[in-house]
Amino acid sequence: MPEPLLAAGGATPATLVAFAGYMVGVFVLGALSHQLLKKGSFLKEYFLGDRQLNAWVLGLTYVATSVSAGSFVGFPSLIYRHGWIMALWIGGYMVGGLVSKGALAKRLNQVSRLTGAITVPDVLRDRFQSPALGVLASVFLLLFLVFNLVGQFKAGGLILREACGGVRESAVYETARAGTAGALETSGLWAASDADQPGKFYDLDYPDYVLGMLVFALTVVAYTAYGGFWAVTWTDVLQGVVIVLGAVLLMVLALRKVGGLENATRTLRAADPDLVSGPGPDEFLPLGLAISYFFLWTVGSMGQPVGMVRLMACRDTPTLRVSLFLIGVYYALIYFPLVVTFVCARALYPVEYMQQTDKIMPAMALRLTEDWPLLGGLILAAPYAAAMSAVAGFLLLMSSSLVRDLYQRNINPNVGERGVKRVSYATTAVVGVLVTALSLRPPEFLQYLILFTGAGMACTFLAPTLLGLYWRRTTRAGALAGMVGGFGTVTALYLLGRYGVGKEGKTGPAAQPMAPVYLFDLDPVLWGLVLSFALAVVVSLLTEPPPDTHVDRYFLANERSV
Amino acid sequence: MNPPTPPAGKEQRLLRNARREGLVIMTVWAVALVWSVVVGYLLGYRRPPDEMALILGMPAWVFWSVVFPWGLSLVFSAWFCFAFMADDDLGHDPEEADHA
Repeated sequence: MPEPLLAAGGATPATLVAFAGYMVGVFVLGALSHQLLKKGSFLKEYFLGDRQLNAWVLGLTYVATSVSAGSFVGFPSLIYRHGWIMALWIGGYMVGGLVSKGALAKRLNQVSRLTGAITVPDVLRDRFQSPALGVLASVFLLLFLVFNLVGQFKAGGLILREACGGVRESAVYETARAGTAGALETSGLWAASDADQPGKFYDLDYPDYVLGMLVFALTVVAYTAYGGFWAVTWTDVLQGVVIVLGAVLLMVLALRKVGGLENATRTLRAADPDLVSGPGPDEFLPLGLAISYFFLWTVGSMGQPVGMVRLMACRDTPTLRVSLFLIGVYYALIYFPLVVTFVCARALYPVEYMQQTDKIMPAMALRLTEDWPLLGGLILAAPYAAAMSAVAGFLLLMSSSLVRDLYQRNINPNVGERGVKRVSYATTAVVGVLVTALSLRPPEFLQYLILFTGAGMACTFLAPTLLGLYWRRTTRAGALAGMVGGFGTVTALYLLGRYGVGKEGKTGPAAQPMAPVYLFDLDPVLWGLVLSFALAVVVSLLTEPPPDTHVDRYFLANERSV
Repeated sequence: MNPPTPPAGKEQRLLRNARREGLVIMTVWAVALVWSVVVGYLLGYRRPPDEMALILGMPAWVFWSVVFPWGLSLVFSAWFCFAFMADDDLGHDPEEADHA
């Protein structure tokens, strides 16, 4: 039986104080950001920060958004379980910033300025002169983001539940918990008798999970809706700093505790040689998947609309060059330290958390800082910050899709500034409430849904966007074929996997019931990208070229672009 | 001083620069992918534990397939960002351009 986390030198009131200090900082930045909305075009300001991001801010917001709860909860759990092979699994990040940002940034920013686009569907709609393409892109985007947000909300709820460990006996916590339990019972979502049935809610520890998730949701929805892009961006900066500091501090503390990295590696080798060699325990990373993940963290990241929006918000090229370098440094300071830390964790606690590996991150944060609980609170804030920054970015992306791409451009083109303002605030809040409701009972297999959304967005958006920006011959039909083909491929491979197709004789992750079909040991992201690009190119060549009068402005120099 | 207006029909300078920079980035990406996966596979997969050397406390294959190329990638990034990448005018939004 694993030792309960909170009994093992867990969270104390001081931990919560540090955590609360971080939350206050987030709120202050959200409120200050609201002041910036009072000048300039509301939509561009609310959803794109008036394209005024400087290098440090752009770098930190890009990293904070791309580093989600998965990086701080799921990734450590995988390292703890599989050992050093995870270094190769995450290795794509060595060029992740350069590829995901450098190949697209300048051109995407320029084209979005040319047409005044503030969202990715906006760019596609204008470039291909197709409202239908814009609407379809928005629908795909909304679909993916809902899945992803539920996962992030769940992670936020679980982390806050751990952070509250030291105050569970307090009257305030007891009152809040009782209120939450009462509301859940009234709504029929949960009954007190369910508490006696372990596993009924996938070990979510109701109603403590719901209480944590509600606090998380309220915080992030409030500051995002109120402050818009600037709130998301400035809190991202704070969160980015917390994430980097948290990752590095945790590594230093873990190395100190284990007596050096060599001790940790030798301990793992003695326990199980597979923990220090490939493909890892249970054939975790066969060669095909190693290649696939390199693709996913680089080319796959390039196709994420939440990252593309940040590129569109950049101020100028000097800003781009500095931020591009900074992103590479940030990734190096986050991911490799996490590998080292959780290799040490396996050496320190070889069996204690094997039944609940998702708890290894908060467990390490709290165990390693027993003598400095304030520091523990700060480190524990890192995964929470990662979840918050990802959620805020996705939330704003969803509301921008609804307000700009669906409402303003298709339903009510004549809406005034005041109307847009009201709709923007309301949409962000409503989307937040909707996702909160869905997160009350999140599906068990969420990890695969999150992987599906990452792969799905890359395969849906990358080919039409990249080809539209660099190849003037790309046609509307080609872009549509690439988008639908990429989406269809990834979705089909995940659905087939869900129904057990291709699982015979497989071991490791490929054998999991919710895993997709790994055709020839390659992840669906690879197949989706290949098919999406192939379809976009072939269909473009088979259809009438777009009129020069339209395409010239994107490709040829004129008095405004040289 | 503003640059002279180029002749009609000429491809945008930003597009040419962005394409050139994109090609360099994707070349480095391909090299990094091949290096990392091939070296990781040859040195780290299915090796007897007794043959596993350590460098800086980590298995040698992790050092050569991940840490070493990661370091080189950062050096390359510095060169790319500060010595290779061109400064280009990103343009203006339509409403700003109208006032320009």
